[in-house]
Amino acid sequence: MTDQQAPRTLADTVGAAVLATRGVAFLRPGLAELLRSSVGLGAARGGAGVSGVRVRRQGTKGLDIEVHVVLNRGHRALDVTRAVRAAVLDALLTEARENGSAQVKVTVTGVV
Amino acid sequence: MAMNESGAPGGTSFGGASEEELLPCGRELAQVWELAEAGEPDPHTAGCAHCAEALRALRALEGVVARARDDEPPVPPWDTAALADRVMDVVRLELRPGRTLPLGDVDEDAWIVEAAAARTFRAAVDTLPGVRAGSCRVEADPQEASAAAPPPGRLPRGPARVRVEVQAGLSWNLQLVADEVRARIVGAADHELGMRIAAVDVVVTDLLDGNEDEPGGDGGGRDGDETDSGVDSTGLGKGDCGGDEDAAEGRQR
Repeated sequence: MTDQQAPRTLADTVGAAVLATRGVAFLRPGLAELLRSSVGLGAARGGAGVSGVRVRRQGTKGLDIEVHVVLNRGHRALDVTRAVRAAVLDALLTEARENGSAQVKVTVTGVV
Repeated sequence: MAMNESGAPGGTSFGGASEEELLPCGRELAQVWELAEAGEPDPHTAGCAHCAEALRALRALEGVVARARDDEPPVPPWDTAALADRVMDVVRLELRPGRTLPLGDVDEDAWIVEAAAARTFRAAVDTLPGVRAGSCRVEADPQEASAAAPPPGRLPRGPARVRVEVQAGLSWNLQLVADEVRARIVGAADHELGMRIAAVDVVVTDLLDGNEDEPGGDGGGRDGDETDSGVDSTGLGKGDCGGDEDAAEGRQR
């Protein structure tokens, strides 16, 4: 597999765009976050990346972005996923200056 | 009082729900971890981003456990084992969200995990007075699913089929309660999720007596003429809404 892991800053940009979307409660906690909360180790110690967001460059096909989110109750899940996708694409264009194509897969992992 | 008959149309089996924890690349998580811990060379894992992420998570787990041991005062061995068990419980919960179901149209790339969808459907059913939802499963409708092969762990894009087990009060007409349950699930799928539903199979697994069996409100659906025969009412489709099969079975009489 020749996929190249994208820079951390791109995942940060995507994560911020997702969290700013109406109806999103939080990004799916990553394994490290769950473990830290389980054993009471407090805040993240860095280096774990943005939980719930995976950004990869797919050669000439652009970016492959996967987002896992937990939604707030009272928002239609499909509408939120569409808003998330639009927010991510807009953020990539305006903040990260990514002009290439991007495929955004949004998965709802819970509703709170 | 055994009352349920499956008999859902379409021939899709609900008995084979996978317990495997599949990575997006199709590999089982346990297999990847075992190979890595055994130190066996694996060309796939070496070049796969999903496997690499799984191994990174495993290393993070090892690091967190090691730090936890360092931070805690010396404890008897059984306490360490309990901590490890607790950690692994969290890991399993995170890694077993059930299958992933499509949201929206065929050409979209929006999804929801089965556990979340099932919880929504069960909550909708529980709004009916005197009705309690049990096991709920979701499958792709074989007649309407997209021809394109879905990614591992995800259902094909297309309308889904829901199968839900319910317990209803004695005073409910069972055919009518099935219709009401179906309407609630279709409504929740549309208004709360945005999931397209091909069919809903409703299986009445038990009758409730006592105060729980009083359908309230509009009084719809109660005429008390059904008491001792099972109802497997198939309307719109079928599926596995996430994981309380045991609880549902336990409530049967």
